[in-house]
Amino acid sequence: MNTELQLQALLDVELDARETREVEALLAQDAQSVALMQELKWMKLAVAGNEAELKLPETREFYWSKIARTIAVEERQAAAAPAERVWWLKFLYPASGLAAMVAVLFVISGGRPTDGADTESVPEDVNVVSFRSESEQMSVVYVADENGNFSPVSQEVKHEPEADK
Amino acid sequence: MSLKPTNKPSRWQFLVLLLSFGWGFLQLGVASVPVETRVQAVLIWGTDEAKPTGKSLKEVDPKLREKLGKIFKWQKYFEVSRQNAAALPGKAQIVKLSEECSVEIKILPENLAEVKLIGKGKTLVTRRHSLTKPDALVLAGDDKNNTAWFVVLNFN
Amino acid sequence: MPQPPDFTTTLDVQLVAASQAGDMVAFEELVARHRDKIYARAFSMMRNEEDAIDLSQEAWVKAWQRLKQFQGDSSFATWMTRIVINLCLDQLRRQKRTRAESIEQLDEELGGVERQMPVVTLNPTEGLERAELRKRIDKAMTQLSYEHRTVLILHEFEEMEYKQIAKVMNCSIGTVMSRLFYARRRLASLLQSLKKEQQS
Repeated sequence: MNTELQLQALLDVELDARETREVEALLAQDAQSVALMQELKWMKLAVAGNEAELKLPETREFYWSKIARTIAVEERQAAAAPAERVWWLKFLYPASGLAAMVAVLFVISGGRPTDGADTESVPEDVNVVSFRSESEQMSVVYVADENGNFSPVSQEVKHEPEADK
Repeated sequence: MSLKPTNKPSRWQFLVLLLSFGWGFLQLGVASVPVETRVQAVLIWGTDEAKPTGKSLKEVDPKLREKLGKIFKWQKYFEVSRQNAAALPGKAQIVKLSEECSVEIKILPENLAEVKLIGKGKTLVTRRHSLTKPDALVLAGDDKNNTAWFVVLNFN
Repeated sequence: MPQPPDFTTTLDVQLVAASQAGDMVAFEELVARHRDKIYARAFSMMRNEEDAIDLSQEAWVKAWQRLKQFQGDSSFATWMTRIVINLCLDQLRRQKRTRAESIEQLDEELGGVERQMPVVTLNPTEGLERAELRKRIDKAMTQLSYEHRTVLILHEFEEMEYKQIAKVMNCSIGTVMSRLFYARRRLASLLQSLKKEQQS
């Protein structure tokens, strides 16, 4: 290990007792090492505990609805995966998948039983998430498509030329 | 002089009978006129960019902006088009919002509305929405360049 | 009408136990409690909002599927953070394979660059208010390669030891040490430049 890395390891309390003594001895006689150690120390102190505070830019309901939907889809897929299973497993997996789906719908609906309303159907190639925001009184169906293949807003609207003013 | 009971209806009884018939006819009339549900549909574009230069886009009203902003991450919400329509029970009503987007609304029994979002002639989503709640129905999705579109439907 | 249970006073361990028994409402509460932290960790590594949202959600799905494996050796938040870190690293490695490396990155990988940097002799963070300091550190960290940024994150924010970092990043302890050394030195230099910019 080179000297610089040893200095850093001393700072990070990663050296054993013997190595610690050796590096401290070096620090006592080398001004350059002291300066470097000081720089490393400043950085360690500056960074630790000073992470930028970030908030998730999505609401609890929207964020959770996507997680719940993925869980349900993956459980359904796992249930549908053909494998050499004993006969009763064929019934167990779909049942648990269904139970999970019901649980997901129950959670999304805020614990209210569903009565056939607030349900959606989509073609197989369309991926949607739906949820209800109680506080904003909005029922949302969101078509997740990172390529934005369907765009009801025309390009002209998005990028109107200055001349149209 | 003695007072004898009579089989003839009195004037009062006749009036009550007349009013009952009248009320019955009125009810029949009301029942035969289907109740329409008014729908307002607004197509909105959500983006983090400033308003594109031009004249036809305007920001959505502050109340709706606040609601959308609490749910979605975009900073700006521009109204692209707005349509009002009246939907009759059992009859599909198509509301065109842009060249490529329209919604088909059908009022079903038990206070339900079936809404189909049609894009490029294809049904993208079919949603059954309960009209017993005061909720607006928001159909939305990803658009290009990290933007999004929204169709906000209000029923009353 | 059944009311959704109120979990506000329930401890994480109780929510985890309920989730392990299949209670998705309890799991949703765990998501709500820790979503900001998990998202922030993903963002700090990916530096991209969309990726951070996707990967943090993927982490929650994985957590649900692996809940039975959680033994309580660490806190639930720490366990979750490890999951999201691993997912981010996988994604960053995939991205790196498909992208041309910058000259600076190649220099870093070859090693030795950090030794040529002059030592910063005046504390570049002195006198800064905490909010400003955080802003500058965040800005400087965006300019590090993902390997260097990740080592810093794992060491300073997650308080992991060298050997733990080596395990997570699938590299030697020596590599961890030299990456950390480079990251700190580069950060000092970047913060010094930011200070000079501010003063001029």
